[in-house]
Amino acid sequence: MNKFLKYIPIFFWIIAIAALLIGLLNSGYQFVQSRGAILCLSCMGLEENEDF
Amino acid sequence: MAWFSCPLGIIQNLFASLRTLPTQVLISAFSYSLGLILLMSLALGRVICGWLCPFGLFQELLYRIPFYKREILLPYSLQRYLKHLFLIFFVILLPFLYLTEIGYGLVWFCKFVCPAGTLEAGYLNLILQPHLTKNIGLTFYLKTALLLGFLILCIVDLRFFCKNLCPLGLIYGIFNKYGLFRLRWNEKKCTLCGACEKICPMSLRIPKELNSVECIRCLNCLSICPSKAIVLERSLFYLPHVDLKSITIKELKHAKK
Repeated sequence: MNKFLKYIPIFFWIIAIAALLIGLLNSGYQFVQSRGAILCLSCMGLEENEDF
Repeated sequence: MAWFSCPLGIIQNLFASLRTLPTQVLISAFSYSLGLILLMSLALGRVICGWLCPFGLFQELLYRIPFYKREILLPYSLQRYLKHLFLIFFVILLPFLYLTEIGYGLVWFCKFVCPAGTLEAGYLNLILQPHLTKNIGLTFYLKTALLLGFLILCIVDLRFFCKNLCPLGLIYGIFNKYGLFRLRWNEKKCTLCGACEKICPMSLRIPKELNSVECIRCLNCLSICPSKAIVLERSLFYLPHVDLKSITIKELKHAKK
């Protein structure tokens, strides 16, 4: 059991790098970019109007 | 810039868009979010809280204001699990369940709670771009009231927001045991002086909670330890012996008497 536990971080690292590569290669970041203005306004606590 | 925006905003946006995005886009968006957050958590984890977070620095500066100081002790389970509730409700469930008329959910935590967003994005942008004042509404006043409340609490208790409410810290903290940087306590070197527990900004019980979710890796314990009994380790492997000491210095002292 302990031997298996030892490699858990490596398993996470592989998932992280693979997922990020798949996401970047398929433009996974665009779902954030496409709603950028609305997300920024939400973060600031401001309301949307005709400018946004 | 939005590529590497706040990970909490990315997670909320993902859940808010779950029912709207086509499957192909959703898979790539999910992969990107998962990869980015996992990588940040594993490579730095709560080192980000202790050394990079501007709101964490602001809280530390606020605590230096000479004013009434007291550790605000919420009931233990509430103190430990309040941020879990914030993560589940404001970051996951509400953005997913409540949809606006355009089919997207709201980023609830950012929009209605996050004091860091109000201060660092809201007020800073209002100063830099005065034309945004016409976008001020009821939400902004609500967030400002919350921010003021948090700021007062942070003057009284060091890093009150980090300790009790920050869901991003919780996500990073989950990987404290598996990340690149971990703290290790050496029982043979420890003189049981308790200096580490006194200086810990998160009021952790050392060594029991040395690699717990709450540790922000400020390394105060490491620098104050006179016998160098706490060290920072870098390892890609899980080291169970680091986390097995489920005992506190108080208990150790009591056992040695």
